[in-house]
Amino acid sequence: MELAYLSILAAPALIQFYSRRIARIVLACVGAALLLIGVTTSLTLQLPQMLIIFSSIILLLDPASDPRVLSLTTLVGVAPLPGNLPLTALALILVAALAAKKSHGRAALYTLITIPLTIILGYLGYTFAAAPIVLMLVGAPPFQRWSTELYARYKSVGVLVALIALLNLNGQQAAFAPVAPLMTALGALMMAVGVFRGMKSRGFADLFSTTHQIAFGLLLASASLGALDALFLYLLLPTVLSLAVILRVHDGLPEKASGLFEFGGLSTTMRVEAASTLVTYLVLFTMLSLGAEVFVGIGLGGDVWFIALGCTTLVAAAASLAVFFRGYTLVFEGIPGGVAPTSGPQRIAVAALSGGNALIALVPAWSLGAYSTIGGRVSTVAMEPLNVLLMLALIAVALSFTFTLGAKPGKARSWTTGYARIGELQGSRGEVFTSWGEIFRPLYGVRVPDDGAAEALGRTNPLITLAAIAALVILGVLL
Amino acid sequence: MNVAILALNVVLAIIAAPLIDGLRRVITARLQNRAGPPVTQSWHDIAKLLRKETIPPEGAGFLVSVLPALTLTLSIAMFATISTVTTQSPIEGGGIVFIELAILSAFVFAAAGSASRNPYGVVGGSREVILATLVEPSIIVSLTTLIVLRGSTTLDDAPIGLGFGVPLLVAAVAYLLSVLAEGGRIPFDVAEAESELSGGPLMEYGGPPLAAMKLGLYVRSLALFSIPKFFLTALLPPGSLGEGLSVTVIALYLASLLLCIILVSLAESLSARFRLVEASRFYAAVLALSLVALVLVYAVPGAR
Repeated sequence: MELAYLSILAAPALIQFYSRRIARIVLACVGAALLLIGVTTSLTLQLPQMLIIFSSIILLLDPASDPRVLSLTTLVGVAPLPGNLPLTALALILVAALAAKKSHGRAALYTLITIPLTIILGYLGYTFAAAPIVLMLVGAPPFQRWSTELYARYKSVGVLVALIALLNLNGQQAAFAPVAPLMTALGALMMAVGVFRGMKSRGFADLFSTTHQIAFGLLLASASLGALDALFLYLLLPTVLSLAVILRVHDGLPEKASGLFEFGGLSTTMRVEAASTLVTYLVLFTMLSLGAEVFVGIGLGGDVWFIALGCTTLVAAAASLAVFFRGYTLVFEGIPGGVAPTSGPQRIAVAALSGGNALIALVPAWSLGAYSTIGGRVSTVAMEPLNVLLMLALIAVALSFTFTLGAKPGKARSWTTGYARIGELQGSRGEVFTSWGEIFRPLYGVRVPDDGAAEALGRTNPLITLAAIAALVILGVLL
Repeated sequence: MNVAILALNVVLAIIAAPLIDGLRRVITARLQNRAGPPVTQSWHDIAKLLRKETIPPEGAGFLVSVLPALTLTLSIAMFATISTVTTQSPIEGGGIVFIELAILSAFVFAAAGSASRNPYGVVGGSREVILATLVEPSIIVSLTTLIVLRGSTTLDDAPIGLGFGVPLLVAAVAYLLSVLAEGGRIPFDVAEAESELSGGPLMEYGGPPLAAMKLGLYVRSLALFSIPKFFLTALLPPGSLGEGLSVTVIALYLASLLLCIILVSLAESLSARFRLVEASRFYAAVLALSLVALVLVYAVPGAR
């Protein structure tokens, strides 16, 4: 019965052949109906399943999202399939989607390597057989190229797929226990790689994939350990909502320089988008901060690795603001290409989403309490630390607005020292006036930790890679 | 959360921060054989700016008005989260929040410069962000070392009788070297190119917004200069400072502030300006030093 209900989710994939717009509406309606039925308890949906459906609806805000792949991904994510079948099915859907768009690339290559590897590991009796596929779907090192390429085509699907993989990992902690420390370490590495790449990013697709890496790196670090369950549950919704907002706003960036991050241009153009982005980055920043606080708190109990994890997360939080600043300078330097500006209703949706996200992120206990009321099945998870930083930051923002509204400009006419283009200043004043790229030259020279591994993997024939990994696994079992 | 201590810190931040900056200017002047301005000069500067009118830059949006106030409020919030003249901390787990607010206030300052749409502001803002990215890791690691040694993420003055250990000393040195970049002075700035370097973000501002940004920078400096006190109090035996507001705590706080100011003034007077590449090498070394401190905490028996 439950599967029959859920299979309605496949309808948008079929309707897309007729009309993309209707497919989007149907997917949203089916998702909303399933959530409604779930709340009224005639359908035994669990919290992760509800979260997946909810995320799917939210991700529809991105006009570039593909309802066909999104609906099938959601279906696989919520269907009660045994073992690692959901993850393998997800990987297959992505291969099929990429093949349909004639864009195999490295993304499909990785998938093709990972699926048989998972099957081999499963056949050999490894309970954590899905570990490689989880890492690939989340975009952990050395699969960063995967996520970059996936986002070039299916950004919203990429977010949903990563979410499903993480929920699967969290739900089967016992099976993944042998690789839990590895997952945590890779989560930290993912954050570090994300901020490095973000500071060097040269376009918005790259910037988004790095933001994804930072956010999902934190989730990966907390997904596989029972001690971090409360943190993981708390981080899930604000992270997905934040990525949905950024996704939506990046897609709406205009071609002209008076864009989102050029703060001075906001009075006439994209105020809502800019305010939403600022709030979203603030939320992401405080998520990382709270994660660091929890890690350090656990580390004080004597586990040195959690202290290291806390330090890494704090550094990632600091650098994530530089990533945002890089986004700003990308616009200042001139963004390549552009898309249609946001429509009125979409602006309202983005603003509501950002506001709701800030509210949910503000009080962890409140948000988890809200989860517990859905269907009455999920017990409240104790989450001690209040997000003090976000509270202080929001109070500071509110106070600043109040002060500003109280202070009137003294002159009606404004004044300026006069502007010159960066290039002109650079020519006339030498090294002081340099673009971001030149200022950041010391960092541009640094290779991202997993660049080498990803490049080597990309160059190697997939069959050779597969054979080598399989041989190593068999050797390990024999020894 | 102790609201009374929070309120006390807010008042202290607004009153003391310009005076501390004035003291730094006096000490620097004396080291350079100059008479220097009076200690209250920074206060007079702020008061003068507050009386002036606000003239927004042409074509700038509302963030030009909001971000200076936000720089100030975030800096005050940062200072308010730690214990200063009392032994109690205003909030639990304030250590991590302090670090994050330090990061956030630096970023908002840089964003304020960029919001003015002046290329000088943009370049100055970019430079600020890069410097913050270079400096923050060593501040984070050295403060985490202190947190691990104290066994709590709350930054309060409870003496724990750690004794004079190598990890604490190395972490304190790394922290002091990290805060040298604070305030954008030599060796990270040069007076002849003030507007092109750390002064870039301030370029388009005047009147009360400029006062807010300057006061924000003073408060931020004061907050960062307040941390060495916690390295000192960690050495003292438990119970030696009493409870709440005490003369000993205030004396210790003032002594640690003075130490910081003298160190910054010495660096300003005795060194030449770093290029950004040199600054990155310098802070890589400081980061390594702070990591050594953290490793020593676990490697040296009985360090915790």
